[in-house]
This record gives sequence, structure tokens and C-alpha cells, in this order.
Amino acid sequence: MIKQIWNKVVDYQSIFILLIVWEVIAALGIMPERLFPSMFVVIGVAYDLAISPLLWDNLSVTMVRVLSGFTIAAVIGVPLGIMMSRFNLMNKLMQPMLSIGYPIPRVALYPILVFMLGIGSGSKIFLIVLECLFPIIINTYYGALRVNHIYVWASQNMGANHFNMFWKVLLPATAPSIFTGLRIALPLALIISILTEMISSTEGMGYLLSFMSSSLVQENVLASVMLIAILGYLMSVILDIIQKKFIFWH
Amino acid sequence: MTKKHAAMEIENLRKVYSTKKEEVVAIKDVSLTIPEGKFVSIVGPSGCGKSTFLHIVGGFIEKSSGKVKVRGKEVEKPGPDRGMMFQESALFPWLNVFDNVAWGLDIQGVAKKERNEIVEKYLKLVRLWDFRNQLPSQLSGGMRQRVSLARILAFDPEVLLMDEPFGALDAQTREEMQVELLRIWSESKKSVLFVTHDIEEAVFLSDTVVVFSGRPAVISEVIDIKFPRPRDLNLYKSAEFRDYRNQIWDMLHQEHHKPVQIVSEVVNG
Ligand SMILES: Nc1ncnc2c1ncn2[C@@H]1O[C@H](COP(=O)(O)OP(=O)(O)OP(=O)(O)O)[C@@H](O)[C@H]1O
Ligand SMILES: [Mg+2]
Repeated sequence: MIKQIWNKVVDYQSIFILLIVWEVIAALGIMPERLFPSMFVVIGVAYDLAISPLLWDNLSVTMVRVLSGFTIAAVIGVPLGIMMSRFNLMNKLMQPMLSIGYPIPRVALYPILVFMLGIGSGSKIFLIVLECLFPIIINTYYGALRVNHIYVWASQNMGANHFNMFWKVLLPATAPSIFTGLRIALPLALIISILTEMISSTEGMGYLLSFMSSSLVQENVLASVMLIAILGYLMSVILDIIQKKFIFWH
Repeated sequence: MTKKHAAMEIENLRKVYSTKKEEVVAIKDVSLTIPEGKFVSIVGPSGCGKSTFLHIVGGFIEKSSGKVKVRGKEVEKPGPDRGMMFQESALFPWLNVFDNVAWGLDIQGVAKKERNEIVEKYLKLVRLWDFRNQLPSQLSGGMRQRVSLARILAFDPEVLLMDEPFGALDAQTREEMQVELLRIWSESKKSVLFVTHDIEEAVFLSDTVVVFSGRPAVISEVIDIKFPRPRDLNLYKSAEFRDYRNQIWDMLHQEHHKPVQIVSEVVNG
């Protein structure tokens, strides 16, 4: 048990080193305390937040947006990526949109989306979907291209139709690449949700962050950032667990 | 009596691969008839078009010209009437041994109880029933090939197409597999088209050995192997076996040094 904890500490040593450096700066008073509050103070504020409904109400709003945007993007992006790898026409239609759309800072579209869909969850989820689609489609597409055609042939040999081939061959064979796309997309979903909530919202973690910032009290801001970081970390851990469950054979 | 169809009839088959840079003639002009229930092997040097030939008969790639019929029916696309064992393992790495063998039966809608019985039967036939819960990656190369064989036999194809199935195995495992294959084949009585570059393997297994010349493939010789069945590994030691082997060896090496192109012949059933 103690060994396990120590191993985790070793794994995350860079984080601990940063925290120690921060603490030293805070303790020596090199920088004004208003800008460099002790991490213990920050953790205290974060804890107070964590046991208050303020956090949980905003957290649930953000989570709904993140998960629905992410899920919609996955449900659209994965089949699209696989179909692009199989059907030349599909690929021809999609490629220009991907190569032109990818470099566009899609957050810049947010004001337009607000204009069309309002400042509620709709515009935010739409932007999350848009943002997540790119890594999911691109990774799925290249993954599906690399699927050994021998699996497709073997399935055809056993009499598979398109439906069988998609669900029972291409999807599992592409799963490792699909997860690569999902791992890139999930933090993006969180970032976009928070960013748009900071721009315009009365609820969500982004709103909480800007609300806390407006107090101009540094430890409040840092505490919110810390909670968001933990949230992002937990989400990726959960995705990890799901991935291990699905891709046990890899 | 109506004319009985041969298991496979290939007539003037030609295959040209077109790449951006060039056109590769993989098969020049091959005609071959494989009678029902026979074991026919193709030997030939690497790259001479053996896999290409099998892939066309399997319907996986398109021919450039010629006719390919399996049991009188023109081949257009892949289908479960022709069980194909590929040169590399085509087992699904995400499914265990049992589910791999069950796959073809599942998508053909075979009822669960019957399906389980069939899977059990063939996994026992290849002596891998005890390994049914393992993933392909947990098996040895020889075991994987046996699962592949069980998977094909399970959906009961009319003919078997086998592309160097034992190519990657060591000599001893390979011999065991050959004996096992003959045992299974003698029970199922399916026609087999077997590709190998191992001359002895071809002689040991086959009723007929077809020798392909170097690129592009044309048939340079068709040799009937007149050993009685059942055969066992002692055959390897016989003088007649060596005669067959040397005859084919000479054929292949003659090809190698001066590429004469003999007009293709037909195996008569
Ligand atoms: N998809 C392809 N595109 C272009 N050329 C190809 C393609 N597949 C095979 N060829 C060429 O066709 C020829 C025959 O290939 P094939 O795989 O049928 O040989 P083979 O007899 O099975 O060889 P081996 O014994 O090494 O498996 C080779 O020269 C190869 O380069
Ligand atoms: Mg080959």
C-alpha cells in the first residue's frame, strides 16, 4: 500500500516538484502573497468549494454539456471516419472540409452560434461537437485505413454483409485508433465548455471560474483551476478504464 | 447422365496488377481443372502469383480476363462456399478461439445450440477445445493455423483454398499439421486447392501437384502423385517420394535458370 502510494508520487514527481517550488516561493515571500498564496490556502478554498452546492451545481451543468457534446461527436465521427476509409466518394466529400476546417479556430464561431442557438447549452454543446469531431474523425479514418484487409476478406469469406462488417470487424479492429481520437477529444470538450461558459453563462464551471476571478482573490481563482484540473484528470482516468475493458486484446 | 461439374475450373486466367508506375502481369495464362474431392497443390517460387491465383478463386480480387468456376458457378465475389485460409493469420485478435470459430455461424444465423455443437466438434477435431477461451495472441503459430482451419470447416464450405498455411512453422510442427490436415480432409472429402513453396509438403499431401513457373505465372508441369492413402510420415523416406521431389525440384530450377514458358496444361478429372 505504502509502496503503491510512493510509486504514484514517483509517477507524478514533476507535479510535486512544481508544488514544492511554488510553496518555497510563497514561504520566502519573494513574490507578493496576493499573487502567490500558499498551496495549502488554495487547497483549503478548494475544499470549501467542494463541499458547497456552488461547485456541484455548476459541475453538473458542465458535465452534461461536455458528455453530451462528446457523445454526439463520437456517435457521428466514428461511423463517418470508418465510412471514409471504405467509400471513396465519402472520403472525397469529407477531406476538403477536414483540411480547411481543422486550422480554423472554431471558438471564433461561438458568437455566431450564440446568435443562432442562444446562450444556453445548445450553442455550447454544438461547439463542443464541432471541436471533438475533428480528432475523432481523423483518428478513426486513419485507423480504419490501417485495418488489415485480411480481416475484411475473412469476414466476406464467411458471408458477412456490410452491417456485420461494420459492427463486427471494422469497429473492433479500429477501436484502438478510435480511442486515440476520443482521448484527444475529451479534454477539448471540457476546455470548450469552460471557455464558452466564461464568455457567456450564468452557470457551469467556466462561470464559476470567472465568478471567482471577479473577486480578484488569487486563491479563489487557483482553487477553481485546481478543481477543473482534477475533473479533467478524473475524466481521462475513466476513459482509460473503459479503453482497457474494450481493448483487452491489444 | 448429366455432366458433373468439376470442383473448380479455371480457364485462361490472366491477372494484371495496375499500379501508378507500371503494370505487373502476375498471372499470364493459367488453365486448371480440379476434380471433385481431390487434393491439388500449387508449388512455385516466391512472387510467382500463387496467392493472387487463390485470391481470385476466392473472389477477393478481380481477374483481368478468363473464366473461374467453382462447382459450375462463375466466381464473382467472396462467399462461404469457398473456405479460404490466408497466408497470414486472419483470426480476429479481439475474439477468443471459440468466438472466432463461431463467427461465421453467427452471422449466418445458425441457432445458438447448433452453433455451439458445431464449434465444439471442429475445435475438438483440431484438438484445441481446451484452448477455446484463449485469445489468438496467446496461441502458438501452429495452434492459430488449426483454429483458422476449424473456423473454415465450421461454416462447411464446398471447397478449401489454403495459402501456405504451414509456411511459418518449424519442420516438425509442420509435419504434424500435414498429418492432421490429411486426417481431417479424409473425413470431410472436400476438394482442396493448396498453395505451398515446399515441394515435399506438396508431394506428401496431394493427388496432383501443379508447378507454376516464375513471374508471370504459367503452369509448367502437372504431376499426379500416385501414392495410396492414408499416408503417413514414413512416406517421406521412400525412394519414390524422392523421385517425385527431384522431378519437381528440377522443374523449378530449370525455370530459374532459363525461363522457358510452356503452354499451360489441364488436369483432367
Ligand atoms: N496488390 C498488388 N499490387 C501490385 N502488384 C502485386 C499486388 N499483389 C501482388 N503483386 C505482385 O504480383 C506478383 C505475385 O504475387 P503473389 O502474392 O501472388 O505471389 P506468391 O506466389 O503468393 O508469392 P509468395 O510465395 O511469396 O507468397 C508479385 O510479383 C507481386 O509483386
Ligand atoms: Mg503468397
